[in-house]
Amino acid sequence: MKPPLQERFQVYVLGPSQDGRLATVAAGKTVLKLELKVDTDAPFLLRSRAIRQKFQNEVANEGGTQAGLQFLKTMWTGPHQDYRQSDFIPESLQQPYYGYNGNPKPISPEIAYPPGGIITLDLMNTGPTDLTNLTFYWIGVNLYPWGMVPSPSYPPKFAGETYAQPFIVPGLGAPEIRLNQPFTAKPGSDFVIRGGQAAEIASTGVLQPASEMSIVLRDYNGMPYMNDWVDINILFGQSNFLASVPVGPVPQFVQPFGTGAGSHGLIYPEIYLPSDRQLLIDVNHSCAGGGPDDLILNFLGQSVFPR
Amino acid sequence: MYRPQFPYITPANCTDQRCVYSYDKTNTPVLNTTLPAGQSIHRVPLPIDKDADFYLRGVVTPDIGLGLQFRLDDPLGHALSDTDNVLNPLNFEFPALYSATDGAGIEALDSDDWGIFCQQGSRLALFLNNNSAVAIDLSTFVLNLHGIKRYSGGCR
Repeated sequence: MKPPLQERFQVYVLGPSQDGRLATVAAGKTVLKLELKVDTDAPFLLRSRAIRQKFQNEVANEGGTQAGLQFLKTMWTGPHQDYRQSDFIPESLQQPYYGYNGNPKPISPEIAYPPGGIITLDLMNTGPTDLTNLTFYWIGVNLYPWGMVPSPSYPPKFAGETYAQPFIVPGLGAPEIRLNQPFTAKPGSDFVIRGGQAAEIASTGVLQPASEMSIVLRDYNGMPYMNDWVDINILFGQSNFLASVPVGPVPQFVQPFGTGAGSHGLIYPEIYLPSDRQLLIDVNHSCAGGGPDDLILNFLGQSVFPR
Repeated sequence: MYRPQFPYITPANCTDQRCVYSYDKTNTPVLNTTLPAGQSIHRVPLPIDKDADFYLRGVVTPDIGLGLQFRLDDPLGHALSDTDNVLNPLNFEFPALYSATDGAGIEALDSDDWGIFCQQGSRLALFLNNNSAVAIDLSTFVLNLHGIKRYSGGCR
């Protein structure tokens, strides 16, 4: 049965670009009334969350950890400025790996925000060090009347088979931004994107976790699926990720076990690309220094062959 | 990938049996060799048993790092990932972005027909590529294909 409204994948970012107070959250500081306004053209259904900050303790702009997140406490509101927590709650007790590596924390049941609705966030850094470029990701779907945004879909009769199509942005400098990089579905079949994985390819040809690489996905009309840069380790992730997640006050750093390709980042609802149709990708490598790297995005899904 | 278990309906007069085909150096001689830097190996046959059709539903490999990539073709010759690109790394999959699960779960392969159909006695094809600048010992590479064997007509 066709639902009454069309869902469209959406990530809302609340970071330093939306509120400058998130650029540095000093040790012991409480920040109140951070506000994220959802788009005015569509209601938003919040279905999952994730958090990150700038990598700490990097070596030559690679590697690093999320040290300090274990001391972050938050509380945030629904659509009527109604707090969904009774007090500040440690994020470390709410989401394994802080939603990292393509595995955001599910919100169930979903929370509906009206067009132009406000998510208000209060936070507290109870740790001994500052948090840098703290960024919150609110993931779900926007709702549109059918026909308002493009919605290509399956032919009446078709055959389908699993398909993975990688996409490489070569020689991405540090820092460098490239806009509207075209990812094209192969001729002869449509491609349904249902998830992905992402990493860097080092100059030696070996895969390594990406550091400070983020993207904006856009449909072929240029309409974005997110309001700002989304770190690819949040959106997609990869197997054998860095031992970067802080556990405990000391802390120990652990690898996000059970994530990666076996539980890869999901795009929901799927993005249906008719053959030869393009997805446009903005890419941002925000490291300051270090050599150029290739970014690889591996889009996972299904080929659709009309019959 | 979103498909829950219940749509995997077994047809009448058939019996499904969970099955994992595992290919490594003990049963696939080419995996007991070394792949030189920048080189590829094409069309390594991965035989399917002759007693029943196999429906491939998932794949798991370790990530042995070092820039090893691979690709699978189904028995009908359809590539399960991208190919025919000028940029060679696009023609293969890095396990860490495709099939390496860090020891948990299975990378599900979505398809209609309740899995990728592999006729009894047919062969999938494995393609390997070394994207790095050093030779790779393939002896630690293992390819596990998860799915079901389908026995029909009471032959099991």
